[in-house]
Formats: sequence, structure tokens, C-alpha cells
Amino acid sequence: MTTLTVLPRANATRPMLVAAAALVGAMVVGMSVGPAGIPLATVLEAFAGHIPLINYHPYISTIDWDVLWQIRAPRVVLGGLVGAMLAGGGAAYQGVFRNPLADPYLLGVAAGAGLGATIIIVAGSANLSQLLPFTAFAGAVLAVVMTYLVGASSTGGLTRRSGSGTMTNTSIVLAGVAVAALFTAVQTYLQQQHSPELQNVYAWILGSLTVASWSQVRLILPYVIVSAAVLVAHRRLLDVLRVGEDEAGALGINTARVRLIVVAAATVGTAAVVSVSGLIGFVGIIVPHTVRLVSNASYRVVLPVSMVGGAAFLILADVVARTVESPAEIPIGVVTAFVGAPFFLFVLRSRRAQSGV
Amino acid sequence: MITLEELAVCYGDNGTSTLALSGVNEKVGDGEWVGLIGPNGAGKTTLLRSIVQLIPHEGRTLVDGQDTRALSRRELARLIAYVPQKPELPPEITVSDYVLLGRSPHVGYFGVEGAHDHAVCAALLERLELSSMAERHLGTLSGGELQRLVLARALAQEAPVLLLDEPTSALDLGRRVDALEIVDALRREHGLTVLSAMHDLTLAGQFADRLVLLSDGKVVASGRSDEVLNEALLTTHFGLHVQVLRTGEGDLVVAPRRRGASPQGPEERGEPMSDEHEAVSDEAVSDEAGREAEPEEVAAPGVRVPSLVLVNTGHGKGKSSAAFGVMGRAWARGWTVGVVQFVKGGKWQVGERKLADHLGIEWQVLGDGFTWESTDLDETAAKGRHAWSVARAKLASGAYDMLILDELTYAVSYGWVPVADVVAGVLERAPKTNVVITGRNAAPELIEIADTVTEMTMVKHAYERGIKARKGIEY
Repeated sequence: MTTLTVLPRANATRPMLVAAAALVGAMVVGMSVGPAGIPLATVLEAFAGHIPLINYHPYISTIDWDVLWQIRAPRVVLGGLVGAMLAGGGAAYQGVFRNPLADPYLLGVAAGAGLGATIIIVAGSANLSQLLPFTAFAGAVLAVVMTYLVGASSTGGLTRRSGSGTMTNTSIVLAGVAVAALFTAVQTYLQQQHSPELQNVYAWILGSLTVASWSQVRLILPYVIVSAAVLVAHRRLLDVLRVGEDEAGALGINTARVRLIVVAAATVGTAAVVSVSGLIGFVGIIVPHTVRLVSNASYRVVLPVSMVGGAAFLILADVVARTVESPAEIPIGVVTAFVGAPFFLFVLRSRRAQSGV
Repeated sequence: MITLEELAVCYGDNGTSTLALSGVNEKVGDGEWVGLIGPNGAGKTTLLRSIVQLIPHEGRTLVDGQDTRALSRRELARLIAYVPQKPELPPEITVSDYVLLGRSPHVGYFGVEGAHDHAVCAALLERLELSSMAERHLGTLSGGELQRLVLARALAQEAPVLLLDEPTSALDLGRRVDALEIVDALRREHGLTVLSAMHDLTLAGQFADRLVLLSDGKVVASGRSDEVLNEALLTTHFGLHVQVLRTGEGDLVVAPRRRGASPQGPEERGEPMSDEHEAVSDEAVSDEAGREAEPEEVAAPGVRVPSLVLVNTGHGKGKSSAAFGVMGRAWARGWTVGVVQFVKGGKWQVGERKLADHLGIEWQVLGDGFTWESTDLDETAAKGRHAWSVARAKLASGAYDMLILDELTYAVSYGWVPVADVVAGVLERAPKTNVVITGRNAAPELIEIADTVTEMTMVKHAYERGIKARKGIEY
């Protein structure tokens, strides 16, 4: 019998390289596709010219550069951040709730952000584009806090040890359903009362990166970085949670505390990105599951690779959204669902065929 | 090592609570293996879960002198490894990833497992013969391999105390003994203290140093296996007749007894009771069935064999006579015997009645003679029901070593007494009371709960030869 000294472990290196390559490819495509018709070579030259310490100065027209730097680049970067956060948040929620259908909107983020956005849209504010992210973010965080308080009050205690009489995953998820229903009801009422604004609300709900700018990137970047860092730091603990609350508890994990921290981080990050992108669906489910299916189910792999893969996926989805009916755009949420669902089914089928399930 | 002081667990809140454990005081010594036995719902799992702080409880649990409630989850997990009855085994996780989970209590919050953790787990995989499958997914492992893997994860915690909840319930007999032998070997190698809930009483007696019998949330017995594996105790608390046998090597074997053993089969039923001659002459002189119905004492002195249910049925002669023969033998052993007659009464008196009176055996005639002579069937039915209520009280009273319920089956087949009532009354009888039921057309439900069924078929009868009933010899 062979003697093992280092155990074979889930390794994120290879899937990570694949995801990173996909991300670079997606960024190049995102930068070079658009109504302005800038050739790919020009795009590459333009960026090569801006690499520090390299003495290379190709001729690029000011207009081309502005299109690339002020319009396309922030949109690609924003798409990447949104995709990374939604996919990472989805993976984290699936981990803490041990539910493959969990997505980052499980505890009311979408309903809360939707209500926050609706309020500011129907109020007809003059500074809509500046205020909307804040009200959407506030609504999202408020909804999740309410969910947690309702779930905790029905069973007692936010961070008590697991077991009977303490907050369970089920009670939190049910509270999330209730809070989401409440927020959606209020939002629907407001929409009905202000039918002229209906289309604006609807467009926001379906999600869009149309108005992407560097200021929005700067707005959400800190949240995304902190949230992503916290989630990735919990990858080992999410693996322990896979054996259930009782056994994880017996293995020395305060499951309630881990859940609170992970949910808080995922919520803040998700709330931040949806406040600028609107409610883009499907990313949080498709991307983590695709990673699980094609590489490994350990969160050491799923979390970081989902973030990179999610970024690539959303950048490409945005390219599709703005080219299909160019120069008009279709909502990116439609694209993620339309492209993502069949792709996911394809992956699922091919994996099943391989493993003979 | 483990000390439980006045441990109590209450499920549910305000008003509707159930006491799952109460007043448990136990000690498990260093390096000792204590087996928790008891029927389902006795509180075995609850006891283990409260020690590892997965459920709130009253009282104190001390491990290594430390109150477990005062410890953090991490500290507790370094002290106690707990394996639940049905561990979560995510099929897509690999063997090595799973075993490394056991290192959680030794890895920092944001940390990852280091070289030492890998070495500990690799050694355990090798010890449990799992090294060759380190990269395999849990979904591809057999039950026995998974069992070893779960033990490997628990041992990776390097905790001095191991709590196992039914560690072998999913395994076949061979794998079950393998798993327990591994636990035994490992606890000796690592000096572990083991507390395990066990369903298999025979294996519990063979492996554990000491047994604790839980019933209804209380410790009802605690001690060496030959003290706890006692027929009377087990019969009372498991609600099933068991025999405890001793093998040549001195091991105890706990043998449950089937509730529905019926060696002769319940054929030839369904014939209506319409034959006066048959019924009149039911009490033949023979008691040939008596020897078959006699319980054998095989247990140690002072422990009575679990009581039996005998049904004498069929359409021949001798059902009641056989029962009365058993009555006489039981009396001769010094047993307290009671007889209830459900049908015959008044002018139909059997000869054994005089014997019973002479010997001082309690004999109640609660029927009103033969039913077809009754002028008021409602009254007859009421008498039958009354007779059953008397009999049922006697069954439950615990005052009798044997009850003869003569011709009870008629009260059932005429619909006076529901068969379910009779079955329940018999099953809920005091543990020591043997029951003899006679009569034609015994219901299948009654046959089902009988330990012995004696079917009388066409015993040759004096009546057919023209010999009429005479005083002193009633047929």
C-alpha cells in the first residue's frame, strides 16, 4: 500500500487558469465590439500604448480613445464586477443554505433593491441616476436585515449554537420568502399608482449596464472587494458546512456565526452591484453550478473560480445584449437567462453522460 | 472522563413539552466503552447530542472535568468527536477532503490545513485501509468503506472522547462486527473513552465494558452486560419477549421471540358455530394438548421466562380440556391461575370446575349458558362484553401467572367483542401473565399474536358411540 504524506486535495489552479483565460477573452471582445466599429488591432494598440514603462505610442484618434476608455472600458469593468459578485454571492448562499437552488436574491436582496429603486423612480427625482443606487442598496440591505430578524425572532437568537430552539436555515429561508413577498407587494402597489413610470421600473428590474461609468465602478468597487475577500476567506468553512449544521457544529464550527458573516458579506456585495446594474438573474445559479460540474464541488474551487467565471460570463452577456439589436439594447437579464439556461442544461447533460448518472 | 449530573432534556416549549431525558446521572471512566441501549425514543440520541451541546439541556455534563457548556465549539470539538446515526456524506466530496474536515477544530478560522493535518489524516486513512481510495468520491464507496471513513474523520479530531450513535446500523452482520472491532482496536491504541448508542444488544454486550439501559428518558439499569441483559428487564422495556442465552464462551445472546409464531397454521376456520352437539361436548376428558402448552424454564433462577400466549382452536374436541390441564400443571408449580368462562354457565358445568374449587383456583363463569338458548341476545352480548372487561382487567393487573380465557373466540366471532380489543388486551397484559385462549374459529389476528396454536381436529368422541353425557363426565 502506498504511503501518503500529502493528501490529494481539491485544486483550484487549473479551473482558475481556464476561467482567467475566459475573462481575458471576454474583456477583449467587450472592448472591441460596439457600434463605433473600432478594429481589434486598434483596440489592442491603444491599450498597449497605455502600459506604463513601455515606450510605444501608436496613433489613436481622440474619439476612438474616448469611446474605448469612457464608454466601453467602464462597461466591461462594471460587468465584470457585477458578474463576479453575483456568481460568488450565489455560490456562498448555496454553501450556507446547503441548497443548490439558492441564489443571491434568496433572502430578499432583489425585492428590497426593487422597492428602493421603484420608490425613487416614481418619486420623479431630478437626480435619479445619482440617488437610485443608494435607495436600491438601502432597500436590499434592509430587506435582508428584516429577514434575519424575522427568522431569528421565530426561533430565538442570531448566533446561538445550532440545534433545536435556535435559528435554522429553513426558518431564515421562509422569512426571506415572507419579506420578499411584502416588499414586492409594496412595489407592485407603487407601480400601479404610477403607471407612467412602469416602463422605467421594469427596465431597471431586468437589469442593464447602459449607463456604466467610472464613477459607478468607483462606487461599488470597495464593497465588491471586501465582500469577495470575506467570501473567499470562508471557503474552507463552507466546505465544513457541507456535512450539515449538526456535524459542522460537532467539528467545532459556530455555524450560526459563519452563516451570519457569509450572508452579510454576500448581501452587501450583491446589494452594491444590483444597485447599479439592476436585477440580473440566473448568474448566481448558472455559474457556480457550471464550475461544480466541470471541475470540483469544493468551495475552495467553486468560490474563486465562480467569481472569475461570472465576470467573464456577464461581460459576454452584455456584449450580446448591446449587439443583437444594435444600436438598441435588450435587457441583460434576458440574455443571461436565454443564453445561460441552455448552456447550463448542456453542461448538466454532458456531465451526466460522462458519469453515467 | 464523562460525568453526567442530573441531565434533563425537554423538547417543545410552553405547555406541550415532552421530557426526552430526565435525571440522568452517569459516569464513563477513562478508556471505558459504555454502550447505551434502549428502545427507539428512549433518549439515546438525545443523551449523546446533549453531551456535545447540540441541544439545550438541564444539569451538567463534564468531560475531563470541564463543564461542556463553558467551552467554545472549537474547544469542545477537540475534546469530543461525535458521529451521528446518519452522517451527511455528500456524494461528490472526495475521501481525503472528507477526512480533512475532521481537522477543523485544529485549523484557525481563516486558516487552511497544514502539513501536520495532512500527516494525521494520511495515517488514519492508512490505518483504516482507505489510502487507495483517497481521491475517490464518497458516492462510489460501499457501506463498510463509508463507515470506516466516518470513523477516520472522527479520529482526525484527535479528541479523547468518542461518541457514536448507532455506529453500525446500516451494515450487514459481518461489516457490523468489523466496524465494532475497529472501534475497539482504535480505542485501545489511542486510549479513547467511548460512549455509543447501540441497537444490537448481543453485540453491545460483547463489545462494551458496561451497558446503560435507557427507557422513557431515564436510566433503568446500568452495569456489566450480564446484569443489564436480563430477560425481565429487556422484556419490560422493549415490549417484546426476549430470551437471553449464554454461549459456550460465556457471551450473552439476546434472542427476540416472534410475536406471530403459529407452528400449525390457522387452517380450517370459517365454520359457523351451529353444532350444538359439538359445543356441548367441547370438554373432552383428554388433556393431550397440555404438554405442548407447557412453558419451559430455561433462564437463570429468579428470572422467569417471558409469558406465552396459547390458542387452542379447531373443530374437534379437547380445546378447553387441554386448557384446564395446563391450569392444573400451572397450579402444581405454585402459580396463581385464573379462569374466565365466556360462554358456558348455568347448567353447563365442566368437571374441572370441581377440581378448581377444590384446589382454590379462581374460576368465574360469566357467560349465560349456550347462546342459542338465550331468550335475549342483547343481554347475552352484554354479558360477553362484561366478561371481556373483567378478563382484560385481570390481564393487565399482574396478579396472575396464568389466565385461561375459555371460549373467548365465540365472544369475538359473534361480534360482542372486537378482535382488535382482544389483541390489544393480550399484548398489553402484565409481562408475567401467560394466556390460554380457547374456542372454535379463532380469528387470524389472534392466531397472529399467539406463541403456540393447537388445532384440534376430529378427536374421536364418546358421544358418537352413543354414550350420553353423564354426571361427572361432561362432553
